[in-house]
Amino acid sequence: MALSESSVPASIFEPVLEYLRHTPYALAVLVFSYFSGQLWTFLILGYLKKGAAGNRVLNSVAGKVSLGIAWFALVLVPIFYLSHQSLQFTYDNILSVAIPTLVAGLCAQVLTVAWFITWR
Amino acid sequence: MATVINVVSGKGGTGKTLMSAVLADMLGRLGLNVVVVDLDIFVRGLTVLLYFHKRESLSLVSAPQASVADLFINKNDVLIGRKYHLGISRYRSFDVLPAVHRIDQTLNFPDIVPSTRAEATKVLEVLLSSIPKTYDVVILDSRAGYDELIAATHSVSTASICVEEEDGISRVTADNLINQLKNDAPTPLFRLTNKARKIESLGDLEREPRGITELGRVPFDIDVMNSFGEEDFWEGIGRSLYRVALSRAWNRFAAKLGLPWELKETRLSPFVSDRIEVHLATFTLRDRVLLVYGILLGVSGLVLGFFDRDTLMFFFRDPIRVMAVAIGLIGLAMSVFAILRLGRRPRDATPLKYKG
Repeated sequence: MALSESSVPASIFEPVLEYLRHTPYALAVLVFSYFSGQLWTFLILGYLKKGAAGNRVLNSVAGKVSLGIAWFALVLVPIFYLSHQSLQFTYDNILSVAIPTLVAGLCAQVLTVAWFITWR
Repeated sequence: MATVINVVSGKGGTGKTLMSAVLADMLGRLGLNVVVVDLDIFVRGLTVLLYFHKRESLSLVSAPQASVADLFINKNDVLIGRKYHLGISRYRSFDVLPAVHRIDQTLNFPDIVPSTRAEATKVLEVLLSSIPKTYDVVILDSRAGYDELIAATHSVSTASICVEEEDGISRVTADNLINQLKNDAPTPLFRLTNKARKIESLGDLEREPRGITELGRVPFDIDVMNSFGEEDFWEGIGRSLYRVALSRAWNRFAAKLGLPWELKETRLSPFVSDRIEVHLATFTLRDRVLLVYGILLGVSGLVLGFFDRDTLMFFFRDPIRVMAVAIGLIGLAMSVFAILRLGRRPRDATPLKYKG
């Protein structure tokens, strides 16, 4: 028999479901920001500002996450506008475009890095 | 007095010339005056590098300047004390003494090869004394194998580095060469494993036990192998695993000999861990980025894209489909496992076993 609401009280089941639904967004933003920051750091220090590999601000976990968040914030604006036809940012509205923003932002970045590696 | 480093190998194709050039460039960038002498007169790999650098000019040394071959061809003059003005050319951050005048010069083997070790040693001593005193480091890019000239280069050097690969044949030829050279002269002799594939991560190389004479392992890097001699080679080498591992090997070498020159070991990686890159060394850097981030985007795009209330309910209600999805994910994981060569443990090279 499949697990359903009939075997678990709704008062427990619903909050757990909501928690599972929202928490991964925050985690995903952090993880993707770190990967994004890693790629930006690689691009900036490896290709655009050579010889600065020892830069401690950019080349740290906090620096990379910050850089990634800044990048995704930039990518979020046009996606948010396309989705909501306005720039009235609310928590729920931002969450609704979080996943496309992360995937599109990282995808654009990977293609940019691949281009740099090939042609620079 | 310059530090003379003799680079040798038991067999050909171990990457001596590449290593000599990259090492010379790194030391040159450190501010040292470095000259690499191409002693591989017939193969002349380093001279070919110079030829392409000089826009494919056939003539690399102008008379009355001398190439390495000139000293060996005119060894009778050398032996009676004639001095030579060497045709040293600038190549990037270091200098090169070409093996021959012209890249297409054909040589007569008996004219070149010294008949005795004493003769070879004398020619090399004249060669080294003709190199200006302004150089800090002289790298001798010797040819593979063993003969009187290799024995002589070992005896006139500050130290020798034997470059070898991980396979059994390379190990045995290196063992033979090292045993032979140890008998010839008390010059310090070190081993360096090049094109290593059985590496888990660069960090592990720091921790792995090594013998007194071992400088470590330099991983195989397809970008480095593919682009040697190309225009973008030197641009890419700075970002390679090869450079970091070679820097570490040099720093060990310098520490053992008490040399004050330390190379930088930092490197930027497009990934969080170099462990991934070491596993993907047979892919180019661009392909590594596309593969790893492609997998990340593929998985996360699918999982996060379908991650809503309805999907969660589906997972709770239909265990059969959950099982199908789980098996699909296991299949993907198996492919990733194979592509990234995870779970591979380094093992010692075992010599070939013959039946009978």
